[in-house]
Amino acid sequence: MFSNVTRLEISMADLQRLAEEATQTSETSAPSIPSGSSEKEANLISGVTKQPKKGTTPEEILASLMRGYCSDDDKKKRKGMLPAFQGTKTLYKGLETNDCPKRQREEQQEEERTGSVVKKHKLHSEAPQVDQKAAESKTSKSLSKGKQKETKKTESSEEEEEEEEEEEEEEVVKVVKVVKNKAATKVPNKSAVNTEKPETSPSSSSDDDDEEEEEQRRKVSRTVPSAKATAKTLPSSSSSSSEEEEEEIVSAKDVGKTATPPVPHSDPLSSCSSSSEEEEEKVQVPSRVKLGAKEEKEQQRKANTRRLAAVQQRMKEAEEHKKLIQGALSNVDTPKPGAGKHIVFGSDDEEDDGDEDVQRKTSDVTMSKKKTLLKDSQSESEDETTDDEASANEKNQTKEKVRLKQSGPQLFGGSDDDEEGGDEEQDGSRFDVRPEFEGRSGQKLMKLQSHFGADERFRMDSRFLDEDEGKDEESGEEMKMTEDDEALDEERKKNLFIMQSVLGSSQQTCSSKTASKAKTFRDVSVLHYDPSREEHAAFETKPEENKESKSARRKKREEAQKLPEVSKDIYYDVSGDLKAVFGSTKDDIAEEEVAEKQEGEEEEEEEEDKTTWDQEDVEEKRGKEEEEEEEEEEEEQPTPLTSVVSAEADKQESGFKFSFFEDDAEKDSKETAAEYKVENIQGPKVSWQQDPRFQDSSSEEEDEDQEMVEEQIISTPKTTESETPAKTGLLFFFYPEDSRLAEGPRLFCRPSQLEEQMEQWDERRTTLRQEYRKETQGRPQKAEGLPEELRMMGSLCQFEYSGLDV
Amino acid sequence: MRPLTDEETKTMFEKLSKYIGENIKLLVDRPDGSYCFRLHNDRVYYMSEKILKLATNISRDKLVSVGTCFGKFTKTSKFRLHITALDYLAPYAKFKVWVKPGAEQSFLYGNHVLKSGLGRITENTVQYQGVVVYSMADVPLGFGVAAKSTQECRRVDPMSIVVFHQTDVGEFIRNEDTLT
Repeated sequence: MFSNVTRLEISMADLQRLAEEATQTSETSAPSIPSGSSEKEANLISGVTKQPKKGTTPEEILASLMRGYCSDDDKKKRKGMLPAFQGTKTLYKGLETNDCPKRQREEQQEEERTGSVVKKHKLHSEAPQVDQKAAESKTSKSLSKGKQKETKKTESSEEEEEEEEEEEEEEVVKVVKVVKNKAATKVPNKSAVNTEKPETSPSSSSDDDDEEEEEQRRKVSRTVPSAKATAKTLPSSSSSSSEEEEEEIVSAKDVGKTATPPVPHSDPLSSCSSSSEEEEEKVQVPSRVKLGAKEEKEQQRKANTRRLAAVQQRMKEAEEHKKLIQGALSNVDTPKPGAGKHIVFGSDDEEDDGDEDVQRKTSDVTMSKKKTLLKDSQSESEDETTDDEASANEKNQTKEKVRLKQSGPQLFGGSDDDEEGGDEEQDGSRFDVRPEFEGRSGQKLMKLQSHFGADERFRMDSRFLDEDEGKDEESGEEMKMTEDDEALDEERKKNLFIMQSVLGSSQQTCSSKTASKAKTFRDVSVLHYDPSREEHAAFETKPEENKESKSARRKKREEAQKLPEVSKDIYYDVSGDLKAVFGSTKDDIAEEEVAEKQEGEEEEEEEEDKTTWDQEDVEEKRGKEEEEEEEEEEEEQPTPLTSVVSAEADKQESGFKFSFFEDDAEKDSKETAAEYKVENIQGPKVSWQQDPRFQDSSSEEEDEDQEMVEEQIISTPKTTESETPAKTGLLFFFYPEDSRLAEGPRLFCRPSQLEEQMEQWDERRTTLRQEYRKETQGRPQKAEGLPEELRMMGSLCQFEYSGLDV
Repeated sequence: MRPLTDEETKTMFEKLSKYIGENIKLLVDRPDGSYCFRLHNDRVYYMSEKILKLATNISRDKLVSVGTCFGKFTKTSKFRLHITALDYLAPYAKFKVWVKPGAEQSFLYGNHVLKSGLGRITENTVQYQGVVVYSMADVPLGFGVAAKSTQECRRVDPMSIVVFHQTDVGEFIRNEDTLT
C-alpha cells in the first residue's frame, strides 16, 4: 500500500534496544576490545560514555515518551544514552546484506556485549528485533547501524524501495525468525569479518567521522528496525555489506551489552537519505527491544513508527516549502540584470537535461533554481543584445518556468499546466523597466513602436535606437524652436496689446511658456502673523498714536465742556453829542434832547405810537416819544426801540438814564440783560386784544352805537388803568411787577360795583328799547325780523352778562 | 497665409469682444500651447503652433483651410464672424440667449428670434449686444445680436424681434460650400 512512501517505522523493540545498548555501554567501563580497534573503541567508548552525561538528548525525550509502552526492563536499558545515529546507509546496508551476517553479528554482540562507539551503529541500525533477547537485539542493532552507515554513503532509492517492500510484506511474526536467522548468520560473518579487519580501520576511522555526523543526525527519527527490514536489506548489494559487516562486527564487539538498535526501516532510511541535512532537527527514537513475542505490541510499535514517519515527512515538506519560499523571495529584491530579458535559441536540450538531473534529487529547490538562473546568465552573456523586448522575454520565461517547475516542489503548489504558470511570470515581467525606451531617443523609439501597434514581431529594442543623433542636432532643433517661439511670443504680445486697446482695460499678460500663474488667492486664515518677519510689521498697531490721540481727545473734551466765552467787548455807541453823554441829570438832558430831536423823524413817533397801543394818554406817550427822540442821536438812523434800550443800557454806566416810561424805565434798565426784541404791535389789528363785541358792523346806527359803546367800554377800562406797562418791558414770563398782571384782571374784573352796573344797565335798557321801538314801528317787518331782534336781544343779553362778578 | 496686421487684428478683436468681452485673452494667451491667428484668402484662421508649422509647407493656392476659421474680412474690411468659431466662443460667452424648443428650428433656418420664442436671456444685456444663442438644453446654436435690452424684452410684444440672427449651426448644411 505504501510502496512509494518513505516512512520511519520505529517499533518498541528498536527503542528498547537502543536504550539497552545505551545503558550497557555506559555500564561497561572496560569493554572487551577487539583486536586492532582497541584505541578506537576506547575512543568510541569514551564518546559513548560521554553521551550518557547528556540528560536532554532527544533520544531520552523520546524514551521518556515511550516509556509507557515498555516494561521495566526496557526502562533500565533506556537509562543510558543512546548511541548516535550513524546514518541510514549503514542501516540499509546492514539490512541489505543477508540476514545471516546480521544474525552473526547479533550473536557476536551477545557474546561480547561491549559498549563502544557502536552506539551509533546501534542507533542507526533500526532493524526491528522483536521477541529477542537484549543481546540479540543489540547485535542486530549494531548490524543495522553498520548498514545504516553504508547506506548513507551510497544512498539508493532502489534499495530503499526494496527494503520498504520487504518490510511491508513480512510481518512481525516473522521477525523472530529473521532475528534468529540473523543470529545464525552472525557466525559466518565473523569469519568474514576477521579477515577483513584491516579494512575496518578505515571504516572505523570513517566510523569516527560518521559518529560525529551521526551525533548531529541523531535527531532524525529512528524507525524501529523490524525484522522485515533486516530481511529486506539482506538481498541488497552485498559488496557494501562487507564493510558494513566489518563495522557491525567491530561495533558488535564493542557494544556487546548495549542495546542494539533495531534494524532501520527502509522508510526511515529513505527519509533520512532525502533529508540528510534535516536529520538534525528530528529526534531519534530509540528503538526498543521487547522480550518475548508480543504481536500486539509490535503492531503498536509499527503503527507508531508509521505515524511518526508521517509526521516527519510532513515536517520535511514544510521545511522544503520554506526553503523554496526563501529562495524565491531572496531573488525578489535583487532584479537580476539578465532576468526577464533572455532570448534562448536552441539551447533547450542542454538546460532540460540539466534540470532533469536536478529533479527530486537535490533537496533544495532553490539550488535548482539557482542552477537554471546561472545557466540563463550564461546564455545571456552569449547573446549579443542586452536589451530585449517583452515578447522575447516571455518566451524565455516560459522555458524558465518549465525548468523551474520540473525541479522540486512548486512554490505555490501550482498546476501542471505550463501555460498558467507562464502567464504568471509573463505578468510579472510585463512591467519591467525597459531601458531601451529611456531617454530622448528612447522616447522616439517608443513612438516608432507605437506606430506598429502591439505587434510582437515589431518590438523595438536597443538596436533600433538612434544613438548617433547626438546632442548637436537636438540643440540645433532647439535653436530653431526658440526662434519660432520668439516670433510667436511677439505676436502674442502684440495681439494682447491690441486687445487692451480694444477693450480699454489693463490686463495682465502671461507667457505661454511659463506656467500661467493663477491669481494668487490669499487666504486670510492661512496668514499668520510672524513677528520675526519684517513684512508683518505692518500688522502691528503702534501704541504711541493712541496716547497722542487720547491727550488730544482730552483737550478737545475740555474745550467742548467750556462754555463759549462771551467776548466782554461791549458795544459802545458813542454819540457825537458829548453833552448828552456826560449829562448829569436825565431830565435836563432829556429836555434838551427833545428840543434837539423834535425835528426828528416821524417814523419813530409812529412806531412809538404803535408800540404803545394801550397807552391812554397819547400826550404822555408823545412826551415820552419825544424823550426817546431826544435820546436818539441825529446821526444814527431811526433805530427800533431795542437799540434805544440798548443804548440806554449802555449809557447807564455813564450815569445818564432815560426811560420811555418813567416808572418802567428803571425796570427796563434792569432787564437789559434780557435779550428781547420788542416789536411794535398795532392795536386794532390784533384780534385777541380787541374786543370781538365791538367788531360787528351789521348796521350803521348800531355800529355807531356800538362804536360809542365800544369807546365807552374801551375808555372805561382804559381809565381805570393806572398805567400801561411799557411794551418794551414785556417778557414771556411773569414777573412780580408785570403790567399784564394789572391789566389782566381788568379784562374780567368788574370795574365797578355790581349794583352800579345794574343800575346803569337798566337805564340803558330802557333807552334802547325806546329807540328800538321807534325804529321798528316805522319799518315794515321783515321776514327775518325776529332774528334781528333776537340778535339784538342776544347781543344785549351778551352785553348784560358780560359783566361777570369776579 | 500671413499674420494679421494691427488694424485687422483690432477689427477682429472688436468683433470678438462683442461676444466674449475680455475673454479674448484666453484665446490669445493659452496655457496649454501657443495659438495664433493667420489670414488666408481673407479668412482668419485660429490654429496652434504645430499646425502652423505644418501649414507653411503647403503652397498658398493648394491650402484650403488651416485650423479653425473664425471668420472672414469682407471687401470693406469688416470682420464677419462665422459659425465655425462657435466652439471657441461659446464657452466664453458673456451674454447668452436661450431659445424655446419651438423657435429653435426657426432660428436654425436663419430666422430672427421673436419674443415668443425667447426662453431666457442674460440679465443686463445691452441693446445690440453680441449674444450667443443656446437651446434650452444648453446646446450652442449660433450667434446673434440683441435687438432689445433685457428690460425692453420684458415689456415688448410677443411678435417683436429680440435677437437678430447672425449665424447658426444650420449653416453647416445650408452653406456647406462656402464655409471652408
